[in-house]
Amino acid sequence: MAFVSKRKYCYFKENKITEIDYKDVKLLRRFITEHGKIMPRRVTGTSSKMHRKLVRAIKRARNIALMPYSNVESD
Amino acid sequence: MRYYETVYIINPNFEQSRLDNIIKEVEKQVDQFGKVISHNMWGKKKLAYQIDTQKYGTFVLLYFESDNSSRISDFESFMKLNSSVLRAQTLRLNSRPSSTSLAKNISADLEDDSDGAIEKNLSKEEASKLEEADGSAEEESEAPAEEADGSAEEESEAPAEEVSEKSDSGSK
Repeated sequence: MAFVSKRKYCYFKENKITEIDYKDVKLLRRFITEHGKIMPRRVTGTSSKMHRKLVRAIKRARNIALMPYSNVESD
Repeated sequence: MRYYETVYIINPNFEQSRLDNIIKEVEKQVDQFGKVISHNMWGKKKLAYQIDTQKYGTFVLLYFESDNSSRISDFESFMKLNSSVLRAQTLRLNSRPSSTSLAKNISADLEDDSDGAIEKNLSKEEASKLEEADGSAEEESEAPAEEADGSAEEESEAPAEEVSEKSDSGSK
């Protein structure tokens, strides 16, 4: 079928993660685009509760230079 | 009692003795209003963006406890005014950091770096594979693009290269 898409499911719910640490860059890197932007919930399928925590963690990681604010120059 | 976590970045060009001095200084500052739980060096890491024209930084992770929450802003301003500290971030924790979490944070981060490098290598390999696939079958290369945003970028570069090659051969 042409219009059947893969079911999206919250990554954190699947892996039973309740708290997101901003120092865990490996995990956070899954949820940003090539340019360093935070991916929208409609793309990642993250639950709204965990997405809020995720956003906070990514912004903290950005503040301490663990993650980029913008990654345009490297392209 | 409240628990706090601070990550700060020291200028990477400092030698070990100078680093130790800074760490001691920070510890002294914390001792005035609280108690240090653990103080660990993460080591030199590449920064995600330049800070004061530095591309690398020595990361230090500090856990401490304090009753005097009004002194935290003093500590933060001390870190900000300290010229050898590039960046500092202090957070309040909900509970006492467990000894396992202290150890885990550091090892996780170290793994993180190596994994990141591997991932980058993989994505490059994938990209080169995709470039090969691009020539043989265009339909196949479209499927991975939906799965991984990262590969989509590199893929888009591949046809551009082909075009330039074609134009080169055309000029010859």
